[in-house]
Amino acid sequence: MAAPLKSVLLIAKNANLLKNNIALSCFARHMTCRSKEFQSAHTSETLSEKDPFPIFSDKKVQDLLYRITGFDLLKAAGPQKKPIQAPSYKLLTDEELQKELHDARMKLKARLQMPPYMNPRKRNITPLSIDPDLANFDSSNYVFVDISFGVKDRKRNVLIRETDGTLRIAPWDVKERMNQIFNPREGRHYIKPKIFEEQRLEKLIVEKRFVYILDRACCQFEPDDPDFVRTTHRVYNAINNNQEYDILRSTRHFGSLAFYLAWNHIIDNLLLDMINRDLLSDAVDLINLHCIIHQSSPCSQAISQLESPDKVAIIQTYIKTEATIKPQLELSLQAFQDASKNKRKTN
Amino acid sequence: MPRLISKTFDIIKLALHGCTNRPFYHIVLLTNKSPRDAKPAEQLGTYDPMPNIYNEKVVSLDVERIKFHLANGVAMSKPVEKLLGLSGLLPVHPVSYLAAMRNRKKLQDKVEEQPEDTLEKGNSNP
Repeated sequence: MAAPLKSVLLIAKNANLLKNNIALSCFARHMTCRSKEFQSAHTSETLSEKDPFPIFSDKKVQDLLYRITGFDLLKAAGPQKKPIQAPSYKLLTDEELQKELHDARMKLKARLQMPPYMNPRKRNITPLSIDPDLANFDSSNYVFVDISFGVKDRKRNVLIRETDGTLRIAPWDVKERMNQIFNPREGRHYIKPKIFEEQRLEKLIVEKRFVYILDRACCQFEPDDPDFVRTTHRVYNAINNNQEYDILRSTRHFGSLAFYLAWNHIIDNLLLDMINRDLLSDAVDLINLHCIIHQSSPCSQAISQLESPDKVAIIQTYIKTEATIKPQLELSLQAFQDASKNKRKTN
Repeated sequence: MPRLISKTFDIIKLALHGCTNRPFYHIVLLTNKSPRDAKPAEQLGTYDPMPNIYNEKVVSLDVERIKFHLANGVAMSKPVEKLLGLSGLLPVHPVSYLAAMRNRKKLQDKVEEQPEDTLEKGNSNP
């Protein structure tokens, strides 16, 4: 009994000393600890799995994805559920009308901003301090949230003091919950909605409510949340298997879908769909995206060696080098070429 | 006899909010003379002493402002000192260690009394 008491008293003395000097180095230490861990996590990530985000956020890739997405006014501004309200009328000159239309168009285009494509984040396991003397200080964990003015949700420090006395950076789910308490966002729920459970997700996918699921996921999760990655990949796979790409066109999810397919070497069905819909420039963009992501693939090397890179030539090189459903792609490309020839003749 | 000069000074302490059977604290900056729930000079955080469904007690701290006030030499009440100690902002308060030791001892005694029963952990609030 005596020894621990002595140590406690010593600590008390130290604490008083420190208190006078205002020893605030602890939080600073956390920060350095964190950055170190972050670095180590980052290096291990590059070894095991490539990070898609830098490629996704590249200006060239973003432009390309926006081009593929397309912009269908009727779909973007189509019927939406809204409370009943009386229409408002305005008397405008032609110039003002054009300006209004332009503004509306820009507003709708801004809605097409894509959710980032990222790898699922990893848990930060290294504790900040282990204190076995503090074990069982309480029956529940303490969560500490930094609510300093101007701290962004993603940069917020959330620490957890566990009942065994260790102080560590809170796991992501705790952090998300705390963000929702202290900085609530519309459409996000404190408790994860049940539609993201595997079975219910399956039901919605069978009903083909892809956009609904993806919109909900965008609202509920951060883009590097493992749940977000799981749900979106599940939906993208379902769309790819059923070839329902058109549902996502002119929505903010099409770019991410295309990127996912290109990242995983499964763009063949999407390519076929694009050629069948006469979207040849989109098909070329998709192949370019594939080449940007997989720069050492035979396809990208073959395309870089092309002398006259016109649309059909690029698609043909892709079909020759990497396609898995060659005959179908060749057939539909042939059909497209014949159709365009016929058009020229009739003209 | 000269009149006793009692100083007023600023102190960070807990102000009780919430309602019947549901305590909830604000961490506030007050003068030592003002009543507990007086309008504070500044609110620096909150403390929810009732564990939520995940068995967590949630404490929010405006770290930047707390650091500023501590640097200006304000006082702190004991519960606030304990909370800041647990958060890692200050060294852990010695009383927390004492409470932990007592809880552990209680648990051990319980184990010795009835070794087969399931255990309940000891509880203490800062």
